[in-house]
Amino acid sequence: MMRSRSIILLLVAGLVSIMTVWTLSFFDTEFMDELDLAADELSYRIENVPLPEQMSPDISAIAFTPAGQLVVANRRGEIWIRELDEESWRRFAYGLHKPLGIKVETENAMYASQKPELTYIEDTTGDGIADTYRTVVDSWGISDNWHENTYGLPQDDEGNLVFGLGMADQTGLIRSVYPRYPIDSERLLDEGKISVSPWQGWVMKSTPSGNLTPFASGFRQHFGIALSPDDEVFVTNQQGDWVGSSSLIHVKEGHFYGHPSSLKWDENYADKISVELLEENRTPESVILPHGSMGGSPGEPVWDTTEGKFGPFENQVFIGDFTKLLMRVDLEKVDGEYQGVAFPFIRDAIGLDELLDYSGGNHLSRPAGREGLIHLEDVPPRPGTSLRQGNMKMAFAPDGSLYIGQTTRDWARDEEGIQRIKWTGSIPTEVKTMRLTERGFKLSFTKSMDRELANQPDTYELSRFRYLYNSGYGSPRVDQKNVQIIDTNLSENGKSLELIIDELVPGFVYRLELDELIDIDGKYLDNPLGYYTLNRTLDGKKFEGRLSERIFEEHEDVRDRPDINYGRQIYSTYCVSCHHIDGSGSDGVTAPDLTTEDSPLRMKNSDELIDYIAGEKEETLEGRTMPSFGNVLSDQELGDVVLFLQTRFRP
Amino acid sequence: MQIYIYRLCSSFLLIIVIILGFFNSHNDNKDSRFSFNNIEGLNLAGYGKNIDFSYLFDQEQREEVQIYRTIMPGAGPSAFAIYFPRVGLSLCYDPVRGGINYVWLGKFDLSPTVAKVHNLVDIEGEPFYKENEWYPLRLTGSNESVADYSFRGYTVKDGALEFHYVINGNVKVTEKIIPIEDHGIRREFEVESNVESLSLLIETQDNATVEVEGGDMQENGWVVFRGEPLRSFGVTIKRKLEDE
Repeated sequence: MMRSRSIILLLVAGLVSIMTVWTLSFFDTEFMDELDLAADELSYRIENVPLPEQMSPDISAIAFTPAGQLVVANRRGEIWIRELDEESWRRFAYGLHKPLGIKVETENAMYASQKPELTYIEDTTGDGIADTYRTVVDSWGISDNWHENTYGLPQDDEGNLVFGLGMADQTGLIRSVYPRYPIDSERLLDEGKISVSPWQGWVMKSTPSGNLTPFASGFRQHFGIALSPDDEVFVTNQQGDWVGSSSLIHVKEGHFYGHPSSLKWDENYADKISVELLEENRTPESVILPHGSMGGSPGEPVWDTTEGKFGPFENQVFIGDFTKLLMRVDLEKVDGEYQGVAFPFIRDAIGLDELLDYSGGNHLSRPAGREGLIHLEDVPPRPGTSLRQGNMKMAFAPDGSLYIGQTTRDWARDEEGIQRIKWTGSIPTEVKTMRLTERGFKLSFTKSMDRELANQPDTYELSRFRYLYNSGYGSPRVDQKNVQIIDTNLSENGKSLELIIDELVPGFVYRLELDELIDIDGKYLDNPLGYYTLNRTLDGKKFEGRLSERIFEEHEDVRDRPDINYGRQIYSTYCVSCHHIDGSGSDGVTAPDLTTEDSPLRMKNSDELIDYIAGEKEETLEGRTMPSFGNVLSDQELGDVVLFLQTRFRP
Repeated sequence: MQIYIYRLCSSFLLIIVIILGFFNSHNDNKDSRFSFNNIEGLNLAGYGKNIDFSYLFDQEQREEVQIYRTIMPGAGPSAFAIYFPRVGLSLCYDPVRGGINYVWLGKFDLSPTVAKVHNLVDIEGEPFYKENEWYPLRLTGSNESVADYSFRGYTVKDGALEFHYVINGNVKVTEKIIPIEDHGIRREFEVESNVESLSLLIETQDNATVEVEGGDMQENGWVVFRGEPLRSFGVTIKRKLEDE
């Protein structure tokens, strides 16, 4: 009944909108012209892909058969196949345990990475429905902790399946009566995600016959795993403890990428883990995706191998994000190692003002975590179909369109499903590449740029910053500094620009903003922003300082009393997903109603509330279902949020 | 002004047409736009976009056995919830422990398992059969030692469910689970490797009867099955009636 009412209300609201536009159109034909024009000028158009009503739209994997059929898995454990007519669907398999990756061989046979195992799923009777679920390999440890997942699932040229094993969340319960291997829940260096069993926090390889090889370690949440066209392993790793900001990483066998917990299972590190040792042995990420500006939780990377069907970005990497964002990454090899630049590709409005004002909006559309809101730059609504959030899985279709599988993990179901991005044939106005030179950067554009503006150093804003490497939940941007552009040189055809800058310092992310630049037709850049990760200079220089310490003088935000507005932002970032905007809580994750007489707000004083939210003292852990925020929020921030809670919700 | 009133009326007419079109296309979606080869009319393993979150799996509507790998109470971290609709009976198969952990009359609710921070499956019934011992099927003679069990997957053909596993590294076993009338199941074991004897632990049951075929019951609860080589054997589990 409630659903019917909602549908009716939605219809009425929609119809009123249509009516308004329809009627307005008679009074102001320019209004309609502008809307049409904006949509017509798009270089990339978003379409919603219709799904069968019986299918849960929380998409966990997406791929195409060699023949071109779309194959989709969802978190409920189903695998669906869309036939070539793009209308008929069949449910190929069901009952899988969180299949977060698939590797399709044919429409009748495919691999899936389930939470407990890699499985070969096959229809042997020819009726289109899977009947055989063969365990390929399951020789790693799992508990039932909610954060342990198996990410995948590309297959390299030698036939190995490549996958990642997620770690347990320290605040999540382990309810099953026994794990598959003995649990080791020791925290080595104050980490929030814990490798409780082998080989959590690793990238693994397995032959189709089940021979398992631990490939590389040190990943916190490596949700996206892919192979480059040259068969190299890449992952996206998500911001959090020991990960200052999310990133794209080229993964090499035997290397360690920063999160210490996974080293429990590496005999080379037994009994000697220290921050100094980790810093020494940590391989840096290839391209940092700065938190806030470039989303918060990146998904699966895909390479544009469409040979031009998707526009002018052949061989570049596209990465979706949990927020309303798709990114584009241009990689280059410097001194033998990958690094490069990340640009926004498609962004859509998230309503940041409404979020901050608390007047509604979808809290999940912004990046969570430290500095998620500080560096978030909202954009106007995109003309045409909006980009949804939860863009975690992607695959190029045979026709060159980019399919995006979306999941928001049950918090915002209207935003889930599949969308596809089609290139309209119109060349976008973009920075195509940003490459390192001896004295700065060389940019290439998709169109010829305005010569006068391009050759003025003031047209650009260039700055640099870096992230710290420590156990905190993400890192603030530190050692920020504006960088002077000394000279510019636009090529004869206007498509290539050299920027000479005052200094190139390895270990920093260089932020380039080109808001004022226009092409020769007077059009601004579609995405005038790029972040170049400078791990190495052309002559092989690397960062030489301590990754866990600041180089420059530290300027901490020291306040002498709690700040309710800052507390509101913290609540909006960390708490609202379970406790809700009105504090009413939710049964599903056992978040109590904060507005009632017997709420924890009423029963505890400020210090007790701070202790409870921090969740670091033993007495606050018994029966706890709420995550601990002691390693996420500073003491100042804990005070801020408690003041906000007491002011807003205490009855 | 008259022309605007006319246009306003025409916009309302258009809206009515859109409404009719919407419902018509909506029905088209359900009936013909998408085709379903096995679950027509069901919301079996999830919700559609317009389906309420608090769904229950519609287990009555399918005739075939239903198998879901998930988080079960009293089991290892990724066990099977299995429902046999024709006899209204469910069981938990645990590929970590290596056996059927419990059997009950009734269904189960998977919805607690799909939240981000999930809960366990809700068992809708009281188990009448339970197992606790690890690796209850072993090579005869290895009862006292730590046995080895490796889960290899399952098949569902012609509505029949078969689990596959390997014990002691090289003995391949297929266990078919068949629902039977009178509230029970029959477990049929097929041994693909050459082995002369296997032992199965039958734990004492208060609320179930367990019958074995062709095995020698030992005092300690182990049943020894023999063959030259051993190829197959079976066990039937039934819920005890109150006067039994």
